[in-house]
Amino acid sequence: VATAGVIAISYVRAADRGGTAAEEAPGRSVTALQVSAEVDRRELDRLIRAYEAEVRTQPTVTGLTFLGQMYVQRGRTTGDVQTYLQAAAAADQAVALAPRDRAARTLAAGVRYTTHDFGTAAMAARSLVAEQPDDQGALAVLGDAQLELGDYAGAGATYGRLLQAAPDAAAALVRQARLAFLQGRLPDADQLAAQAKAQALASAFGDTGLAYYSVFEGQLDLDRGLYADAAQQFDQALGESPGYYTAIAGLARARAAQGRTAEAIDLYEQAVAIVPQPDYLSALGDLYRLDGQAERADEEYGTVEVIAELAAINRQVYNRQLAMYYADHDLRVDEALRLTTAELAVRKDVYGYDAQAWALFKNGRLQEARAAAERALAQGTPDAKIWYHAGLIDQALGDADRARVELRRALTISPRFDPLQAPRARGALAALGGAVP
Amino acid sequence: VKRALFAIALTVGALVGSAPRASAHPLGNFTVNQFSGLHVTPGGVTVDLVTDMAEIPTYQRRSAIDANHDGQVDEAEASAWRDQQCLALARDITIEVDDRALSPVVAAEASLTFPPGQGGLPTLRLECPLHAAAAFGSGTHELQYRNADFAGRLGWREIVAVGEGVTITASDVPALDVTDRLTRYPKDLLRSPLAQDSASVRFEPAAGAQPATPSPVRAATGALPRGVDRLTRGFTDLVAERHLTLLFGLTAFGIALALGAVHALAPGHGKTVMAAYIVGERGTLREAALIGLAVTVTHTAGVLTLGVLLSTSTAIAPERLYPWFGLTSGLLVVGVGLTLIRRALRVCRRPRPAPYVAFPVPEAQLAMTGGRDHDHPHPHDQRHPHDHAHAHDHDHAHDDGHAHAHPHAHAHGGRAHRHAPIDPSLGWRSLLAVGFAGGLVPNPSALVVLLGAIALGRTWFGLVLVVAYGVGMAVTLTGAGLLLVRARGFFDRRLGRRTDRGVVRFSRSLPLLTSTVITVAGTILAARALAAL
Repeated sequence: VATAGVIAISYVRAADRGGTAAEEAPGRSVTALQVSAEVDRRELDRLIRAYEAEVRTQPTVTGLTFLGQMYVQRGRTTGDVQTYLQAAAAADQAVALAPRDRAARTLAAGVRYTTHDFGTAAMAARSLVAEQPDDQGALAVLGDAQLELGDYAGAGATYGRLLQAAPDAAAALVRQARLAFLQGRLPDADQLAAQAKAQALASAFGDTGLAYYSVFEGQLDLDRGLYADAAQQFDQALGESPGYYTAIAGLARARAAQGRTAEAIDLYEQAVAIVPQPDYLSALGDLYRLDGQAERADEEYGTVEVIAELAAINRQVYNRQLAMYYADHDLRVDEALRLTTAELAVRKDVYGYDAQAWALFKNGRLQEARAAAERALAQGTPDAKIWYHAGLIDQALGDADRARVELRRALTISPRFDPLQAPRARGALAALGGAVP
Repeated sequence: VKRALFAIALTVGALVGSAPRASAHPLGNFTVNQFSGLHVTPGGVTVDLVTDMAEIPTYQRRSAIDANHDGQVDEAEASAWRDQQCLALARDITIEVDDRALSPVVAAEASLTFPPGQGGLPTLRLECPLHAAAAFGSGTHELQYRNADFAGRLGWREIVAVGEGVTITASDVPALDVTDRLTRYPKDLLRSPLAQDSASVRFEPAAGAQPATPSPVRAATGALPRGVDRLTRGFTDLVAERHLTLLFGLTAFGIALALGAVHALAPGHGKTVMAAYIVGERGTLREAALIGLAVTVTHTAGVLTLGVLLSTSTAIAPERLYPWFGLTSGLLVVGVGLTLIRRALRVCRRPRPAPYVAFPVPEAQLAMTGGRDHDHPHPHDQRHPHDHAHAHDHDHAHDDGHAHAHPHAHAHGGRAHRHAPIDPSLGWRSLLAVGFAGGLVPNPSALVVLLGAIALGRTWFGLVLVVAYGVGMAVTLTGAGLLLVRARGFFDRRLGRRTDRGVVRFSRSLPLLTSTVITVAGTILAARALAAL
């Protein structure tokens, strides 16, 4: 049990705009023992069972906290929302037993983050940091939550403190990299991501720990149109952790961008078999549609609708993905706007404004859409979709010059950012008389 | 018979399946859950393969099942899909006996139902009865079972194994399922789903076949020693009652109490020992009550311990534990008997004021059966230093240690009596030892009730019934003791006036006689247990 107290797990958000709890990535506390390195999934399952039995007969703070940390770790690889609920239950029990226990409170804060209760997570982490300013686990949760809430300055300050407390730690560096990307500092992002991965390698992270850093780099490459590099990173991640569904989906996206549709379909099918997330299903449906398999496409789209229905019942965390699905496919655009508006009430990050802008645009509320798009672009995030959305909004508003710039920017960043939307961006740019890059 | 069993299984499944789902799937809406009920007979291995799909995977199979896309699944479509699906599932199932692969075939009609799930969405339940024919000769066989269907998918994966006409001597999966064939999942969040993909079962064809039935309570019954009579069956059925009301709970409590009382009249509850002791040693009512209490407490504790062990570990085969309980019990009785003989011999050499009379000692039979080769089952492997589930093992070892240590404690008590040989009563330790010996072998039906209750997620109800059962036993045993004390008092008064030398001599040798009876009874008990080991 002694190790349980030492093993702290931090919570890095995947640099993926999907934003489901299922996608939380495995950064680990910089003070973490490398226990997880040799703990493969079966061992993790075995430990979880052992601790479940242990806390049933003898519920202790350390036992419950360790169990909760292991649930979070398992949730990362399986993408199973239920596992996060288990983590929440363990954390709540631990905190109930010892309301002042720092490890238990850190876990509880981190779990709130994974279930998208960012406000609570930030509040809990802030009080932990106030008591102990160099608590790395709490700093990580706080910074991540601030990022999701759109407080980029705050997140920057928190990550700065984290890096001070743990210089050269992979978990700290990768957070800085993500912030750099969101703020449009691409060279910084690249350098920090590479540094993070080198550190992770040096500290012999095993399993998805290491794979996560490859996936992060792959996503950076993907966002910038470096599809072959991205594919290589995802391949590497899968070599390190076979069946890591985030890497499979990333590779699928890269293959789709490379025009290797059959491969992409196969990969998405694999990812969907592990975790049927709305964004994966939607992308798979798009590929089937482009491939002329309308029936299959409808099947995937139908599954998204089923998930939407269930998500509403279970208050699950797919709001943003569902909104994008509806808006992208011109289906139930009013529902899309309802979802993005509700989401934006708490989550005022770049992608929150982007989704809101896109949903407003699809509902014909162009002025509001433009205001939202401006806020989405305010950080200078080099994401093709944000620029594409802004371009279409300005085109509809008749601001051709601005639209041309924005659309060209989107296609420069990533010429084939989406199998369905990128051709539309090219079409719009051509219609505006702009040269298509 | 097999077909009939399947028909029953399918009917039960259909009934359960068509009822509204009480609990959501354990892992959310995209799980595929699988259950393999292995049924080993001398003529082969039958697999009750149940697949329970949550809302999303069900939706994803919608178009495959609804071949004509009219939004309805008609009988022809259902039948075509389930047959094809069962074949596909069977292909990824490996059954090997003694390293020889058996090929499972779909043995009876499969069943496909769509129980309503969340939001009015259908879920899918497919039951494929598979059978792999073989002829198992005498001797020990090794069965290896692997299920590669839906590998990597999230979901509950459960395997149980029971034998019919064969004795399962070792198994790494339980005989009892916790989900009632994937119809109810434990709601406890801090209990991860089972992930059993494979099973190894060692078995040997048995002389006496036991009927096996699909319900979990029945399955447990089949795995436990001794036949289950009609009364017991009624008891075990109590716990499976679906609707739990206060009135029903009270009634069940009363019935459990009565059954415990009746059960205590059956052989093997230390009544022989107690009767002999009270008659031969001038035991008092208080002592009789103490023994009755000890029997009850020991019995209840034994049932609980075994129940907890069985429900948390798959590595313990109860039929292999029973002989050990029996042996411990027998040795205890022998120990008590020897102490009494020694005392009786000492006392016999002195003149005794009051004559005694014989009282018929009714029983010396304490039936016990069990499996053969016993290797110490270990529920958890010991590699990981952080594995705190070992606490259970330690608890268990501790209990065992206690049981085996008792004869020593008792001998110690006996030695203490050397200094006070005229004291007519044994020490409280010996009294407890007598009660302990009497209650040590847990009653299988009480155990089944507890396991059934755990399986149905009603552990507390099971506990209450087990305690009620124990209280019933205590009432009978104490009542019997009371009768013995009264009866002896009566005979003492009537015969006390007589001076017949024969009677006096007989009375004086009575303690020796009764303690010998006790020793012999204990020896028989221990010998039977040894034979069963």
